[in-house]
Amino acid sequence: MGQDLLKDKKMSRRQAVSTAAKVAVTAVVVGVGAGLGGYLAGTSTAPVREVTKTERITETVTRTITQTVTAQQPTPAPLRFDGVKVTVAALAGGARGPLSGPFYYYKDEVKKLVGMDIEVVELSFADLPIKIIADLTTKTGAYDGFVPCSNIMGDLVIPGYVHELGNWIADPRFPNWHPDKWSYAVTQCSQWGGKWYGVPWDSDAWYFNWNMKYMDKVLRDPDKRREFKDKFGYELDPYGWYKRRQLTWQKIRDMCEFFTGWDWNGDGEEDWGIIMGLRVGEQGPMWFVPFAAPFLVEYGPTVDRHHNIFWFDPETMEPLLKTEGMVAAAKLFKEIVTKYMPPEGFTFTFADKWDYFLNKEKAMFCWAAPDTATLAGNPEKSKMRGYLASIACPGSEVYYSLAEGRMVQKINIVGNASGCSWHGWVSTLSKNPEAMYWLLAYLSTPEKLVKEISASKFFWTGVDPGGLSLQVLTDYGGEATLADFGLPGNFVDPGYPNSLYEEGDLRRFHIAAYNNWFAADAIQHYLRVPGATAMYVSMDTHIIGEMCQGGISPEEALDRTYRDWNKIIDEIGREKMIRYYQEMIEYKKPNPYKPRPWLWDDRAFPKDLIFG
Amino acid sequence: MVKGVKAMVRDRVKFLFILPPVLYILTLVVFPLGSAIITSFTNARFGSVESSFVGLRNYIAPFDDYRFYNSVYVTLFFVSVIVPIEIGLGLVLALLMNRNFKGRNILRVIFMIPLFVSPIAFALMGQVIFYEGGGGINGILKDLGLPVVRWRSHPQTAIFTVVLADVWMWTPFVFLIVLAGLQSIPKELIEAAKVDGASGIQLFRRITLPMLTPVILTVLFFRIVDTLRLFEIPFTLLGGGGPGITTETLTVYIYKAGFRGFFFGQAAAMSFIYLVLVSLIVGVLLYRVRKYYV
Repeated sequence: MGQDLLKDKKMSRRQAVSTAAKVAVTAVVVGVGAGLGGYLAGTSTAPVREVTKTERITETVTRTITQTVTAQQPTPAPLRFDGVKVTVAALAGGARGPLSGPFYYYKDEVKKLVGMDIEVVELSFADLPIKIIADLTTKTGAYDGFVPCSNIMGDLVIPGYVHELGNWIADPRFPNWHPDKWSYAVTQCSQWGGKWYGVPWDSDAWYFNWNMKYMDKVLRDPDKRREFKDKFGYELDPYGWYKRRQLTWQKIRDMCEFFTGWDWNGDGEEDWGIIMGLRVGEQGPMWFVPFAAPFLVEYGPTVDRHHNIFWFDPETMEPLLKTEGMVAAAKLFKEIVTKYMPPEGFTFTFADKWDYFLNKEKAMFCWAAPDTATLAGNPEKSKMRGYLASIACPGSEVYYSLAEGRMVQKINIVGNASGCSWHGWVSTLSKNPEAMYWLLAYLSTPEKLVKEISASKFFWTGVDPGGLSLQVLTDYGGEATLADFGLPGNFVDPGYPNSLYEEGDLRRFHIAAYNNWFAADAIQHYLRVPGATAMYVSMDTHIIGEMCQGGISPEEALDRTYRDWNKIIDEIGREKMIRYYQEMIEYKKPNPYKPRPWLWDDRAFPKDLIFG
Repeated sequence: MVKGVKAMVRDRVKFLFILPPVLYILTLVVFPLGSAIITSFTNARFGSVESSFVGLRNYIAPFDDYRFYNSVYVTLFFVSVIVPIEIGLGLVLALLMNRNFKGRNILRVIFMIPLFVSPIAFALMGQVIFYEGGGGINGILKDLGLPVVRWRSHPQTAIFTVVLADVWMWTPFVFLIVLAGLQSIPKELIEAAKVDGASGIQLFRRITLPMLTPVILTVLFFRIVDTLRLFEIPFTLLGGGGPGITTETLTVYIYKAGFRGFFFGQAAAMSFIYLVLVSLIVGVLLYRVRKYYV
């Protein structure tokens, strides 16, 4: 072809060489251009390799090759949930909220690990169950998962709104949250008919607390102790009673009377025996239910008609509200809250009540959710760091035996799972159920739940330790260490305050948690049949509202609640409800709860103040 | 022919303009109303997939329920106490503010401030104002060495708290409307009466009050209907109509039946009973005052 060109154009050799040189230079320039373009575009281009005439070009080529090598490395395998976004509904609280906080905090970590994006929908306490159920009934599917109060469990499981988790729990591809290590009292809020539907997270229970600053002062004063003995006929010995499993609501009533009217904090005003947060429309029944449990629940090796029962007769769904035990409990509860609790306690939310007890120190005792122990260490909210006595489930000196049909004189201590017990659920409408389960399981692993979330590393107080044996300190048979709980105050995280648990507070809390979950005489069932929300509302209205504030008698309040409950049961269908209740309590099956010995640790309590 | 088509299109285009409001009414009024009527005859429960027809059961049940009677009583009690206070106080304030004096305009603005606060915001704010342990009011009472008031925790006082809060919120509305009415009374009438030697009381009884009657009746009508649906203050400030059920109005009870108890069928039926009750009250009122509107 070269020859033809020379021939046709009659080009001289010189011209031909000159033309060839121009073509070569042009080729070099084009090659360099392509190389630079390829370099800038981050891709390799073959022509660059061939152009090595000048130093500048060589340098360009070298860098281009380097880039090429990088690009040719094997692409990492796609992350398991790459591009998947899950939406979870949780209690409103923001990025540092008690229950919404962890979802925000682990967003980046989860994204890095499995590629999943998390969207948190924050809903108020009242809106949370309504929005969840509305989403499910209308088949909107806006939420892949949710973390509601456990009392809507029946409304979630029975219509098939949530996934059964058995297969995923057994699947090693998902994080292991050790289902076998949770206490029965907590797992009941995630199980239905023996199957897992929820991932346990929070371990709510009601604990009794007192202010050791003032209690110890009184106990060290012989005159005051004599005053108590003269008035009530027995020695004031709260630590001794607790140690010997003798602390009862009857004794607490007397102590409440004794301690009402003093001025503990020196503000010139009379202080009170006890404080609760009994505002109607909040969680009022949660104060009464664990209070009443020891008046009625009797341990038995199987869950039968007369043992381990609190709510209904499992054969007829007859509410047990009118039993002598329940009446006795209601009378004592009313007496305590109307005489020895400040009237504003009836308008208090959780936060008001904690402020009154921990910060203002205006009441000797507090009956509340376990967050008290976490909040006690926060100097912004408490003056009681190091002075908080946490006590497990006071008992009753008398209870109604369903088996014998009479009141029995014996101290009966019943562990409770009162409160919301916030557990996670996977919606059957979710397009990414596996991803949602993975997230819930991940947050419930010991590494996250024990060491960070429930340890209150970031002051998330809503997810409480206690249910998981892993969460209890090694000294008390669990697997957690003091360091897991940030002692001695070594948690530091940008944007979050240091965890300020005091060792004594923490130990007393863990002893109380252990005794509540594992060492009480019996465990109370958490009500979660369909319609449970309406039943709680009815208790709130009649027992907390009308009886305690409105002045009607305990018998009348219980009767009104009884009538409401029967109406609810009949509305849903009594036969169905019998079946649901029997499934809920695993009727006629062996009682999964086996009481262990009562726990005590001399290091956590003032030894010199145990008298009996 | 073409002319006819054009006329027809021009004629029908008007329907296009009324389509948005018709759609609005159909979707947001007619459909929910129809759905509520159907629901009221079923045992529909929020969260339950199945519901069945129960006839008139939901309409009969409330008449065997003491809480329903209680809520009707509470509602009517509030209407009969709150509305006269608001009308009386609003009228007095309007008469005062209709006079010429220094600072009148500033006072008028101050009196109208509560009108711009949303009821729910006030109910939430009220939790601080009426906080018994030393809130806005009890804090002052404490400082003055006076006994504190159990605004929210005592049944009798709580009723008074609702009355106080509602009067504070809505008296300005009455004041504003009545003031506008006062200013529309021809000055000539007043001046002529004065020339004839009428006293202040005679002026008020013979001229101001008769001239204001249609205005007062209008505002009375608005306040009765508004108070019949009193919700935010008892629900938010008094914890769902507490203490107990002392301040549980009918609207609060219906809400609790539906959104706390999840019994939608019952709540829907009670809503229609409530609708009948309101319609009756309003009907009677309109019948009695019809001559003023002719």
